[in-house]
Amino acid sequence: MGSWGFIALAYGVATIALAGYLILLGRRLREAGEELTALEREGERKRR
Amino acid sequence: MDHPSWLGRALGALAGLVLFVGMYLGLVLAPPDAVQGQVQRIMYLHVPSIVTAYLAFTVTCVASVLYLWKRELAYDAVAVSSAEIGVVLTGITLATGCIWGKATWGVWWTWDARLTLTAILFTIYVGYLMLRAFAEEPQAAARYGAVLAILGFLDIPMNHMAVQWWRTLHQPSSILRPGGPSMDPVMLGTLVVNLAGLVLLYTYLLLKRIRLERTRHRAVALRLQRGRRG
Amino acid sequence: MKGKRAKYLVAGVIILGALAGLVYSGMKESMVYFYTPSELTEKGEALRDKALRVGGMVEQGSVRWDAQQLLLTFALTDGRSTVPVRHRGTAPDLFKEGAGAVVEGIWAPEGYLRSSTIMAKHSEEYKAPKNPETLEAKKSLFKSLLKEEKPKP
Repeated sequence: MGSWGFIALAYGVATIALAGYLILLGRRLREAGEELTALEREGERKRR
Repeated sequence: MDHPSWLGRALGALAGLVLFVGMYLGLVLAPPDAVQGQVQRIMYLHVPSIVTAYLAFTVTCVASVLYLWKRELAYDAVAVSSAEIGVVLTGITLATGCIWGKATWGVWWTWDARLTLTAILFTIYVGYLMLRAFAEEPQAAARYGAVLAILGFLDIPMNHMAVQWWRTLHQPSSILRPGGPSMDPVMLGTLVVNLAGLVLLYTYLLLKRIRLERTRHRAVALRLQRGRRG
Repeated sequence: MKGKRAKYLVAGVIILGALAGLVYSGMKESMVYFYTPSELTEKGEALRDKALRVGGMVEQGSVRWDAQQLLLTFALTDGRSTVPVRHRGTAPDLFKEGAGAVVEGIWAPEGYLRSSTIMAKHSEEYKAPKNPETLEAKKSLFKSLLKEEKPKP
């Protein structure tokens, strides 16, 4: 592997790790939000 | 503590922009190194990653101390969020370090003090995240986590001094060293821009991750409330 | 209650600091990642046949490449002592005379280091090349010198 091959590998790994974390974080945030909304709605129904 | 969403978006956009400029500087504008040639450009990823990881674990350490003192889960939310991003950044440091090592030293890995202590740092905070996942009660997770996070932080000053104290294959510090930085000014500038970009990205991710933790806390609290009632 | 907790915290920090100090002083003595050529020469017999690492500068004019046996021989020096090294195969790109290297291998009874891995060490200095063309020329010259003697398929 030449110099630029190593550089591409390093930048590739870093980009995938950061972008992957960002995407996963967005998904977890959405799921947690949905769960909270469902819980809140359930509570309202019971109160009525 | 909740920030308006436009602030988060602006922070994310700024981080992206600075990182993009940093990438251009690092891959195009900065000169190759006289000894190492082009492959030295990996430094612009490797060094900002570990510096930002140190910052992340410092935030975790301070938030953990505050938690143990005040016993408020809001501090713990900051601690665990920052630690998770720190683990990602340390992982990137290890990966880019292996690649840079193979290209210059000729080996992917060697057990010198610097590399070993960085691997230990990664293990400590992966362990921290696992410990928290196993603990059933949020307060217990926070308490055990805080102790481990504070103990684990000691690895950082040791790792910084490792290249001064011991013989290593890893070279000593280029910037924080007696006699000032031993780096071409253009390279140093490029490094600073890349570091700024990564710190901005860290801040963006941290705010997002804290929001996740607080949403979860709210859900747990609701469920507990309901359990008591019915 | 809060005062008590703070006291525990302070005590904890002091104990941890002391522990870290102990670990540091202990490791400083024992954590020898590599020996210098002088240390290897001094400790000589005690380290015979042991797997170890030696770090130093590649002595000027010492590098020889035997194309028939694929054998690379050179000497590591720290200015006071010199250790001869024999290595089967090639070395990393940054390996050259006058540069730093760490060699893993066995301190053979015949008085040389039987190397299994050569690692090139580089300094913490980062500089732009004065003239990129000359640098590339130098590099390719060095490479062609080594290649010239390699067996042709």
